Amino acid sequence: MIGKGFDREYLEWLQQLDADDGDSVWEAIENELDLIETWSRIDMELNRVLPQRKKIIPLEFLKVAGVAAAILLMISVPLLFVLNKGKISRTPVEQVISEATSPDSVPDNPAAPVQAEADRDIASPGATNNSGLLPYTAEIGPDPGEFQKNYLPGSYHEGVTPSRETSLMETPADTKSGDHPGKKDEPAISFITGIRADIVRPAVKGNVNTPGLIVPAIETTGATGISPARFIRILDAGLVYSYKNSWLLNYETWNCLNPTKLGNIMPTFRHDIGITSAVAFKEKHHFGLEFFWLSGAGQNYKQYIEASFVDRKIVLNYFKLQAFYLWNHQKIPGSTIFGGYYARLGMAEEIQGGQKFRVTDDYRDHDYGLVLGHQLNIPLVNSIVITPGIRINYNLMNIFEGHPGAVNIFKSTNNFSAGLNLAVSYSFKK
Amino acid sequence: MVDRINEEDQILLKGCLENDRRIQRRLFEKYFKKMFRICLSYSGDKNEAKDILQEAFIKVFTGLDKFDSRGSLEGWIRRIVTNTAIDFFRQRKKLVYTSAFSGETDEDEDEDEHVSNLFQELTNDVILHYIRKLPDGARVVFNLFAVDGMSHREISKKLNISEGTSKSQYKRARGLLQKWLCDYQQNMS
Repeated sequence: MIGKGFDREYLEWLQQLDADDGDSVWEAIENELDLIETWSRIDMELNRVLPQRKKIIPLEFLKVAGVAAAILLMISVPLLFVLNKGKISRTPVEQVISEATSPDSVPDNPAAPVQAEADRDIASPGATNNSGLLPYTAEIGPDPGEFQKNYLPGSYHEGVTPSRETSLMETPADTKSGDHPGKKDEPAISFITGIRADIVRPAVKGNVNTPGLIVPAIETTGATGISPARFIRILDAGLVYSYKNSWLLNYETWNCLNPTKLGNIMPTFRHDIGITSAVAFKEKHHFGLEFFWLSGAGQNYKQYIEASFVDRKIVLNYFKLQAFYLWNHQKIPGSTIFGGYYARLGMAEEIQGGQKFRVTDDYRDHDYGLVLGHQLNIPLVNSIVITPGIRINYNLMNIFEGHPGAVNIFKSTNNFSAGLNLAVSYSFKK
Repeated sequence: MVDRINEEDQILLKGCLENDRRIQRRLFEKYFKKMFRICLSYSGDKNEAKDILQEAFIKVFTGLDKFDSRGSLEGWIRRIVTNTAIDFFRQRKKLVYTSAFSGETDEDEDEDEHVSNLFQELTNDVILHYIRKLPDGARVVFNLFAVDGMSHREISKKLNISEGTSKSQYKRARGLLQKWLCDYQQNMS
């Protein structure tokens, strides 16, 4: 019967039509349907019926934000400190003076004219013989060397004798101008701050018996000799070069590692060139910062393409910024490093049998990940230090963006590299 | 046999269920050609087919949570597209079921062999062209019967027509298509 035969033939034809994905029919159909326009209409309708909920904190964002925050922190903390170093060193003293000289906080100031002198003394703490201020007495006035030695942070209780502590805890009556033993006409001076007691006292009014209120001012007045440079110090700066074995971890690479497949992975080496610097925080924590204006990545294959084996290279060049913590071992020489990096794609190209194709659009503009390694600091001559080391980089995102024409648009690609690192730096003296 | 959903479709399904617009677009890009062909086989008119496709994919995205992932995603989308096409004709366009043309016969057993060669010998473009040329009513019934494997009883219920109309429309579509394709083939030879 014609019906069954015709239907069967028709159905078979339809099935064959479905299978022929590369058939010109599909191209004709695609041409008839404006994909972008149709999708725009669907998208518009979906926005109405199925509005997208904004994720409060998407996981992807959190990862990016984490790495970005770590890098920013490492850059901004020293930068801010350097920019504000003058302000930081003066602020606590200014605060004390401000409080001390404020009309509201100095209700019983008996010696207003001497405040200007006191201010001058505070501004130059080493000068203790200015008129209007008492010289240190044998009993309570330590010499500056002893003072600094005893009153560096953390040495307060060890260096303060009971009599000195007593002087800190003097009651207002004890230190009132004219009442100090042997110093009847002149106000007493706090041996720690170099500020006259009657000036200091109002700042701690009501709590004058609590030495702890004065101690913080001691540690930050500048009389202690603590320099801001000790908080942060640039250890070295120089050039860095890295030669590394690079891997693009994706389906293609795994497939080419399979000996039964028509494709091979070729050893792939790329290099990084940039500048490096290391900083120390409080002479305790060391951080490294590196900027590479050329950071290579990619993968080389030998693949069976169009009936012949051809060399295929994927070359990705990034600008890379990496920041890491340097952990110094007690037993193992050198420093172990761990941190993160952020990279921006500069160029991506594919070389197939000598022909170059620009594939920048196929890869994401940004990349970020982790850095691990170990390095040694070897002094060379004078202040020149060479730093050989090993580095491992692993990225935390899919760098392959894909395109509608890709065979598998969900192909996930990660970046991995391991290599040797060599930096030549100038080491700054303390 | 039940087709299990493949890995790629699973990724698509997950993203679409999360209402990720990029993944939704990828799903659309993956299936739009095949589904547009179905739309064209039902509608014949390019703009109508576009409207059906659009409506069908909105139904797909809004109803994806009802998809039973044990089956094939493509098959599920195909059913939605087919139903949307039928709904489209029922709601927006009254299907006209014209009577059989004079030369049509119920039994053309002699031509069976000839028919079996038609689809082999003609190009896809030509066959698609003539399918789209079929009258709407006849084309819809023909597709439901020949492609979707529905019985005339099911078609009659779906299109709200009598079983007899369904049969006659099917015969009409088949006859017309056969005649056009044969004529084309003869002219070419």
